[in-house]
Amino acid sequence: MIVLLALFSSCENECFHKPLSMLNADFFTIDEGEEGEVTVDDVSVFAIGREDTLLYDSASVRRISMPLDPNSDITAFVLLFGDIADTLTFHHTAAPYFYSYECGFVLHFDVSSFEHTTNIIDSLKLERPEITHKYEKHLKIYL
Amino acid sequence: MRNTLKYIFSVLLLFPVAAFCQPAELSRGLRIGFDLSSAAISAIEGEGVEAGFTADMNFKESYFAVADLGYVNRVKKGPGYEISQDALYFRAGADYNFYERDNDVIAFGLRYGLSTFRHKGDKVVVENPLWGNYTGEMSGNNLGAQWIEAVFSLKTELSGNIFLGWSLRGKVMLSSKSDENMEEWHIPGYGMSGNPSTLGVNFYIFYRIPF
Repeated sequence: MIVLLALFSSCENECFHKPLSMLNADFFTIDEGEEGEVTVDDVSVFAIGREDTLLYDSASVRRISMPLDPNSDITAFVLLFGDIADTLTFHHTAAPYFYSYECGFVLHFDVSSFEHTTNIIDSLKLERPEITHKYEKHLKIYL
Repeated sequence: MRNTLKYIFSVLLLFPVAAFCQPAELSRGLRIGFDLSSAAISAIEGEGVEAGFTADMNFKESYFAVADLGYVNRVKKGPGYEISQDALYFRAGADYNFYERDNDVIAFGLRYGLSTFRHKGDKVVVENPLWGNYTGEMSGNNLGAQWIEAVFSLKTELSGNIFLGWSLRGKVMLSSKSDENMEEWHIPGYGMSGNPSTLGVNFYIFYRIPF
């Protein structure tokens, strides 16, 4: 009976890792019709509205991960390539997803559309508009 | 608690076997039962209310028609959330009594089970290091499940028309409708969700209204 009760009663565990849903973007170039992933040097990234926080600071990156604003339906990021800037703007919705009893809810996003400037960036391709807590590839940035 | 249950268990196991052999005499009646186990579990967990009722009536010599009804209202709190579940479940089927001494019953039976429930996030807070906290709710969804059960049960008459009993249930899921944003942890009447089959034990106290 004790065993039965133990089975029914809930287990209170700690939350060891609560993931944050991020929009992951990889850099590509197209060379003679062949696309290839590239590492880009001297990249800085910040969000418009949170200019005080550099997500990347003159980094050498193949991929950048950007946190969308859950309290807004639009998030814009400035990507600085050296001293040339491009702006990426995403329109999105957020919905809670129950991750676990220990950690509670995370947010999932759905990106409906995007815009960007074309100083360094050639084009964007949104491969996966659903942004979940899983580490997946969402966006291709063509330089 | 432990000793009482142990006592009940032993009494239930031994009583019918020790009973005097008397010629079977069909006495009709509507037996109403209250599920002590689910009431005890909800009291121990302290996460809400759970109440289960059962009713059976013999419609032929050794056959009983059985129907169960249950209500569950649970609230679960955790880091940054408060979620609730509101449910009704229903079972219907028949028992075959293969022990015909006095009014005691040892039976095998089959049930069809149906649960309809709604869950929602009454409070949802998600921390975000860049943008600050998100505070909101998760709207409810109407969900449900259907299953079949094979039941072994035992009932023994303590004194005039008052019975104690237990049932052991093997359940197999037929279909369920779940919420892709929140996995159900427990399907009322069925058990842990995500399992294609579950086992359950219920303890009951009954009163039989004789005709």
